[in-house]
Amino acid sequence: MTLSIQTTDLRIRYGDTEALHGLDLDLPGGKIYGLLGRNGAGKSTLLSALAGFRKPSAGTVLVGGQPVFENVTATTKICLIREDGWVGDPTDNIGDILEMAKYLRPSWDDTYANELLDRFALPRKKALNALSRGQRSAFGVVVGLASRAPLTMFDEAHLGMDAPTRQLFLDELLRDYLANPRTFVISTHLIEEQSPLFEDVLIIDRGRVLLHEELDELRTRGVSVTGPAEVVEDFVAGLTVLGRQRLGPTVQAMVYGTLDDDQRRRARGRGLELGPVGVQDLFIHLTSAENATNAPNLTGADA
Amino acid sequence: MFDDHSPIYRQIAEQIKADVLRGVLVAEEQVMSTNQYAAHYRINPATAAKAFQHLVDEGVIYKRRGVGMFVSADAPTRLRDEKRERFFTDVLEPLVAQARTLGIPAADVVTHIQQLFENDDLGEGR
Amino acid sequence: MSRWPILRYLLGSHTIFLLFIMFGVYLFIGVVVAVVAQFTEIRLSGVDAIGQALPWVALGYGATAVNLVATTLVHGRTRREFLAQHPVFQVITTMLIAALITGAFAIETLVYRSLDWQQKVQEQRSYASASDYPMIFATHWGMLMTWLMIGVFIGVAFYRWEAVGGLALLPAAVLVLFTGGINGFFSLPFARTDLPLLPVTLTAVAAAYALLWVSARDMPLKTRVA
Repeated sequence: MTLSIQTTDLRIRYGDTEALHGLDLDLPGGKIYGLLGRNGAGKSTLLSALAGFRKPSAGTVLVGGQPVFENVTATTKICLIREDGWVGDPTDNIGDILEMAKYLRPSWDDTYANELLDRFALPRKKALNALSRGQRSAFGVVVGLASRAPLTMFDEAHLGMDAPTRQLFLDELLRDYLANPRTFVISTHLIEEQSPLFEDVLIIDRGRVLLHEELDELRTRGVSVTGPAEVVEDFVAGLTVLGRQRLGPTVQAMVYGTLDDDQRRRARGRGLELGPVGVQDLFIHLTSAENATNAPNLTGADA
Repeated sequence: MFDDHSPIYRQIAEQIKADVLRGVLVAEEQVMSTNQYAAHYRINPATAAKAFQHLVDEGVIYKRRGVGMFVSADAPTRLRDEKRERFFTDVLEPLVAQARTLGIPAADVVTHIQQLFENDDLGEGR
Repeated sequence: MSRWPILRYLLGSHTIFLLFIMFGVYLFIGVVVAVVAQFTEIRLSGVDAIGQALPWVALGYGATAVNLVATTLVHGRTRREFLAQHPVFQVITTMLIAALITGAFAIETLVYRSLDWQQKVQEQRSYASASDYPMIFATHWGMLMTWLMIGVFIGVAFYRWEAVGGLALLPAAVLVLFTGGINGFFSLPFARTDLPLLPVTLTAVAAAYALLWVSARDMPLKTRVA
């Protein structure tokens, strides 16, 4: 079972500041979504609203077509593991927290939880606040995966994990996704490491959706144009330029969008060098302060 | 495993084609399932499926319902023919262009190429 | 899907744990009284004397319930379920503990009588003697219920509004003084009245619950720093 996600004009205010400014999302169920955004962009706030941890100040949140906040038919199908990694009382030992999850979650798989505990080498008798940061994150992953919630979300679930544990996390997530399809939303800063797992990527910037695209499409979306300053500037006129780097007389411009064959030929004819732009670079440039005003050009639906 | 710069599905397809060309995968041999491939290379199964669909469309592999996917009988020869066709434009033309900019005479390039062909260490399968 | 999951969890773990602890506390009192008796004459009910600490224990334990709200939300439950099921847990558990305490008084009475000791209770208590069992039960149950509910409310208020949550202490103090003047726990002279115990207690519990409901029904879950 998988769940779709819809938000309409979702706004969340903390006192005087608004963290989400009317966010619209329409995500079909059954995919692994990557949620990217700079610190403070509103990722955690969005996830909290999707899980019913926080009431929207305005707008709607629907998961599987159902409103989420204080609706137990929806919330029992949703699991959000937050970046702080606290999934129980800090002084409880983790075996007891699993026991509690068994009471509270209708879809809980206890056998699987115990398997995962072994795989991540987590000590059942240890209190949650006695775990290292990486262990606490790993325990969050155990709880999230064993919840078997049709919508499972991880907010920076890898914090404090070493490289082998992060790999184990991705392996387990993928293995369980193949065996028990569900909707995953994974927020992360480790773009290069984790993005191959995503089917779609969402970029949130300053409380708005900047972009929602298939990951493999996004990989073709950036082109770097390198050459003598004048020639480059002439060529990119009218295109969406995300950034420029200057090295003496040479300029490298980062263009958002796909060039057609004609444009490519023209560029080569003028001695310009064309190159691909990685997802991480694209992300950095798309969310940089100078490009704040470009946002509406990137995605028609969310403008 | 995969670089961050081009679509993963295309990288997967290229890799499998390269395996067929080098004989790592032979005609009528079963290829990994999408899910096995996804789990093994830690990629999204939809991306792997897209790569395999691409290969099916190109006739490199074919599906046997309920069994899995197999390398097409003519895939090795067909891929080699395609590569041969493109060899002169894809490999030789840039080489000559580079030699020109560096001022290397055509005769030097030809002698060198002949020497390389006579050297057994650079045999097939590399 | 099983019904009342939060309640079943609490009864299966917290209630049993609390009863176990309380049982241990009264065993310990027995030991203390026996030791003290070696040195001096016993005139007071030990069970009644230790009762002074009970409201504070109930308050402190109640204040930790906010962590439980947070955890139940993390595991897919709602505030509404907590607000419906936790009070039921409170009623059942405080009744069991009140029954345990009443039993402790009864056992103490038997022992004291056989040794010819005086079993005096504090004069401000709503029960006149250590063998007024119905009143002992009602008083302890009402006191535990009031303090527990107030504790849960205060815990939620501090979690939600941080320092401003301190304002919760004002209505809490009013409720505590009002009920304390009747049941004899935390009984200040100016607050003592002759109002009937149970109606006042039930009103106080209902008031504390109303405050809790207002504070918790749309409480956002916070991200812990550290």
